[in-house]
Amino acid sequence: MVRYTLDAIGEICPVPLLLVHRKMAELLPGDELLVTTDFSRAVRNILDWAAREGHDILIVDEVEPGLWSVTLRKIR
Amino acid sequence: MERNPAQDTVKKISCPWSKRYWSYQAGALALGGLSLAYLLLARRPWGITSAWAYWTGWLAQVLGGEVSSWPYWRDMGLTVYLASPWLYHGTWSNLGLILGALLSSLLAREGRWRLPRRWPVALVGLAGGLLMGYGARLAMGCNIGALLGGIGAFSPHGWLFAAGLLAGAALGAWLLPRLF
Repeated sequence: MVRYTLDAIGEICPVPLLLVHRKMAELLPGDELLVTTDFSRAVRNILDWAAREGHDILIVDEVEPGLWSVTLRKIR
Repeated sequence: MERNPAQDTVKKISCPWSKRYWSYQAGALALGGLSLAYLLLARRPWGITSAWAYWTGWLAQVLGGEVSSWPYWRDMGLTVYLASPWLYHGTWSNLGLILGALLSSLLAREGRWRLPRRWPVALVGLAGGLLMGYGARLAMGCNIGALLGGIGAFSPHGWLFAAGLLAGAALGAWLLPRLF
């Protein structure tokens, strides 16, 4: 299992989701991806997408006001 | 209805009331209700971009430009707004929009200064904004004035605008991964 990080701070919708989409394609099943974003809509987009794709949503955390980290685990 | 695990995860985050995400359905209902309230109170649909045109025309005049003879202002009887855009109700609802967005962000305690990650992207955004503003003048409205207001007022022009908007959005969605 490998843990990847993706810094999407300063990117606005829909670019964070696009970056997550691309990064997740590089992961193997079981690998995890930690995404940080300061765009609130991106959190919702990423969670909706992950749920649709069937990836595990491990942690959603607001690490600072207006700054979120989302950890996903690739399932397949 | 199928449960969406993403929504459950979001609900688990401890946060003030305003941090709860609304469902898309609740957001659509609120937007429709508020749009109707605006139409009933102001006797015209909610619009955003006209105020920008009036302010830009006002600024052009202040800087010495002669725009009051342009058909847009002259033939549509809008020169009064060139003299003072404050007289236009949309100026005030736009100010309310900006203050409301700020208030909502502060109430949710997620307000922070945000800078673009890549400045070329900010330039693309600026160019996109100009194109949208230009398009909104050609169409005499944006996705609020022409789409939301048009459909809400049972006018066919709202649906025509929706067809153009969806075609443009499809083009944008095709273009985006090629640009970033």
